[in-house]
Amino acid sequence: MPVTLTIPLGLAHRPRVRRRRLRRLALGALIALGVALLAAGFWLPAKAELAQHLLNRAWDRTTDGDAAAKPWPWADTHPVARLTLPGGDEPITVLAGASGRNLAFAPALLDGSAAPGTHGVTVIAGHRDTHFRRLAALAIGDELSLERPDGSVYVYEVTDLDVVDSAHAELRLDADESIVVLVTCWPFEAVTPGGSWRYVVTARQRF
Amino acid sequence: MRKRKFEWRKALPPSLYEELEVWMSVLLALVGGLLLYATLTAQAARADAFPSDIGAPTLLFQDASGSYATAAPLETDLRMSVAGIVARVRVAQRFRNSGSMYLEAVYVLPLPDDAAVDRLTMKIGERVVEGEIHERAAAERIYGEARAAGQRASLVRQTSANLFTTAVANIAPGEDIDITIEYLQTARYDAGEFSIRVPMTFTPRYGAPDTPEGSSAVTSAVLPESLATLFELPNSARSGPRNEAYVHAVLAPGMPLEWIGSRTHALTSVQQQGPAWSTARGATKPVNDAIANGAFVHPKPADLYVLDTVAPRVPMDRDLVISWRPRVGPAPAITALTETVGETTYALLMILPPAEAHTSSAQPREQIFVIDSSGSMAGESIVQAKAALKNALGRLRGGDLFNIVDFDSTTSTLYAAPRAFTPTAHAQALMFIDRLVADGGTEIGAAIDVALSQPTTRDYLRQVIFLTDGAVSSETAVFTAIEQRLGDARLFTIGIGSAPNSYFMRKAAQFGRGTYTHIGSVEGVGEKMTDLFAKLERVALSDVVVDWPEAVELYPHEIPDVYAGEPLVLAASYPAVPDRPLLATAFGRAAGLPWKQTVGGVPSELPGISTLWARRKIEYLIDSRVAGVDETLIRKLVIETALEHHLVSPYTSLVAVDKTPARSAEAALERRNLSNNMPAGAQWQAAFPKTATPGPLLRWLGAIALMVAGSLLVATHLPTTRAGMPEVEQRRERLPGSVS
Repeated sequence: MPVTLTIPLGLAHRPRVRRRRLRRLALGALIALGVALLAAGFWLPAKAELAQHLLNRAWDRTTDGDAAAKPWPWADTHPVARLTLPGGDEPITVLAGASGRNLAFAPALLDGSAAPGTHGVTVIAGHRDTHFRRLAALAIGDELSLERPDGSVYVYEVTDLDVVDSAHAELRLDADESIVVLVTCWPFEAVTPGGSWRYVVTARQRF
Repeated sequence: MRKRKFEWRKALPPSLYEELEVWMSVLLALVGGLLLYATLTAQAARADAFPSDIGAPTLLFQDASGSYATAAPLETDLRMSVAGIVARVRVAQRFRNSGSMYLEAVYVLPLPDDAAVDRLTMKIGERVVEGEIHERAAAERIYGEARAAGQRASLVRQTSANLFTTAVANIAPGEDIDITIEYLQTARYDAGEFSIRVPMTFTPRYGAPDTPEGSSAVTSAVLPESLATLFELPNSARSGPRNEAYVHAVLAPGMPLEWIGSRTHALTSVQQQGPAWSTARGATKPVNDAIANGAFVHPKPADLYVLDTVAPRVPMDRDLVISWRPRVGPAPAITALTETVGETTYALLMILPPAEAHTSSAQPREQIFVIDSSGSMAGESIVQAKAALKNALGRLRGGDLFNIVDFDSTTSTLYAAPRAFTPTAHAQALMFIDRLVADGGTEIGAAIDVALSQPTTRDYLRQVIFLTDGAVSSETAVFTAIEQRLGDARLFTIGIGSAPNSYFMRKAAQFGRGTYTHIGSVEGVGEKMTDLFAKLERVALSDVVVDWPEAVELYPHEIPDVYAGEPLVLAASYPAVPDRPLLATAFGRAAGLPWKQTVGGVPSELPGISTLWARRKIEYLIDSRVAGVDETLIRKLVIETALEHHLVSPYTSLVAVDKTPARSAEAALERRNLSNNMPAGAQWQAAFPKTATPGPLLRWLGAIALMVAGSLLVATHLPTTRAGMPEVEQRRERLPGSVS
């Protein structure tokens, strides 16, 4: 970039200690900021990945009968289900309560929504850039399954893929059959978080 | 001559210029980065372009063929005629097909829990087809055959006590079909006020539904597989358009009124003299016309009240309640209405024991409050419930024992055992209430177990007060649990929310030998709780029996306890004897002392009384399921009664078929489930959670910052490298001078 390349000449014509310090300070701060931002940016997916390992261990304890097995000692949530998406990847452990904090670790079951396999809508939300990146690959007719802590497995078939504006739409939680709704942000490749579009995958229980 | 170039670095003080350059470069890098980012996201967005007019407040849904569809809104016209305590309600709904396919519409129609549904008509243009009553399986077969043959057909089925399903087949493109359902109900009298509740929508139920014989198992045996799914309750997981209703009511109360109106809807009321509307089946015209047709004789022209909603249409998101208060202090001690059909006279009696019968109770009380904090209570309901519970605590007296049970998916209690009510306990209870959050399921059975199995204290009268919206599906199981575990306790229900399951409230209180109270709004809490505590604090009439001069078939068989302010409502049938006055005596006990009241006189003749009697008989038969009566016997007796009185029941359905085919065999039929509105104030829907991490953004910003830093690094390093080459530096130092 020509502009930045001309700067050294301009700055060099009268060196002074104070200016150099200022420059170094600005530079140091900028590097620190950049490194911090990058680290934070990479830490989020790393944390999401790491949490799944801890959650898988908690899941094993859950299936062994510890109904509220905590993935780490200070956690205020517990695994409620395991979600298997098509494609042969590891099942994803789902936490109770779709709070921002829980979503950082795993996809989470929305409070007040139905338990997997029961009548009603089971809403599971996940981050588009971590666990639920894989939703982009889902197609109508695909099969997904939810395993409950008691070992029962419910199979669902994807029936709808919708993009909705969350500023205007709401999720209905009542149904007279067992429905799973997977929610993530849309578009998948967007950089800024907090957009109002949501990608909604609806799947109905298959018997 | 050399032209002097303008130079910023000379125009400004050197230090300022230097700083400016640093920040300019940062700014430029940021702008460059942002531009790059904006381009990239714009591309990403284009890649997933969404082909519709999103932004409208509906969820669009896509079918397999890729087209988008929304359910058509439903127009409902609700007309009510009330004579005394009997109301005939006509619900006309217009099913409109604005699409290009033949349509089958399915709608869940909530009706009052004591509704006697006895008429179905289907109107296509000017043609009206009357519905016929059949055993449910037969009705479903008739409907299924008509549907397959391309004929317009309609079926009304009772899916649970107060939920009915209307299905309409073969609505042609661009066609309207009006489906009218009529039912009878009785007004409720409580604390000096009559009221009629008309449900407009329902709170979705939690848990496995009751599966009485006659549901899916039988259905699938009778119907082709593709049809069987029709009789599942429609999936209402989608948000639909708003359903609206017209409301028009004509009321002939038969007594001077102090007040008439509605606390749920804004209504206008006009008083006039004139003939009342008939409560006879199918009579929607004024009485005079009906008399001309020889159909109906009303006692006498009376004061009429004509009620209409202020807004021409009201959203169907809350129950409509119309109330009226008679002018003369305590209401008439008895209302007797009869109808003679053939050899049998049917009578409906309302006996109001005088207030003196209910003396203040001296017995110490123990009150166990059970509060429902399940997900369906979220929103205004839990606010109402908390307000009601706090209000109730404020009414406890020192020396009373109390405890609070909170339930959703799990059950928790304030204390392990009931404790004496003290200021400290009051404070602890208030803290307990404040901490309640509405989420989870409605595991009502466990809560009833916990409440009724609390350790008892001698000589204390246990009163269990249940605050819930009754959003449970397995009603029978709950009633059985109450009946088996009740012992000497009494269970009272308080209905919460704008559309509580009033069937559950009424029946749970019936099996709990208590009474039920509806709280429609937070503002109504104080008044309703005063009414309820007036009942809790007074002696109820118990062991009531009614003596008739002849053999009667009486419903309810076992007369419940009568609480202060409430009447005793009985339906009886006996052999018809012309011009015989009605005479009956009620005996009972109040606080151990005998009580007696004789009623008699010439009753008013009113059509529909036989239907109401039959409805009560069916309810009694269904109730006997809780006591373990054989299902086949119940079924046989219910079918017998329902067919005789043209009533929809769990085992009988109304079906109407238009013989003229509407659809050719080739044209396809599309099914559409029309969704009900959510109850007002309910949060049985959720906002979308935030589902993106700032990860990508952070990484981008980090990269940009490092890029800027990198370029600045070059800037700061260049002078230092030149410091190792002094002659160059010096030459450069001199350069400016030479230029000038």
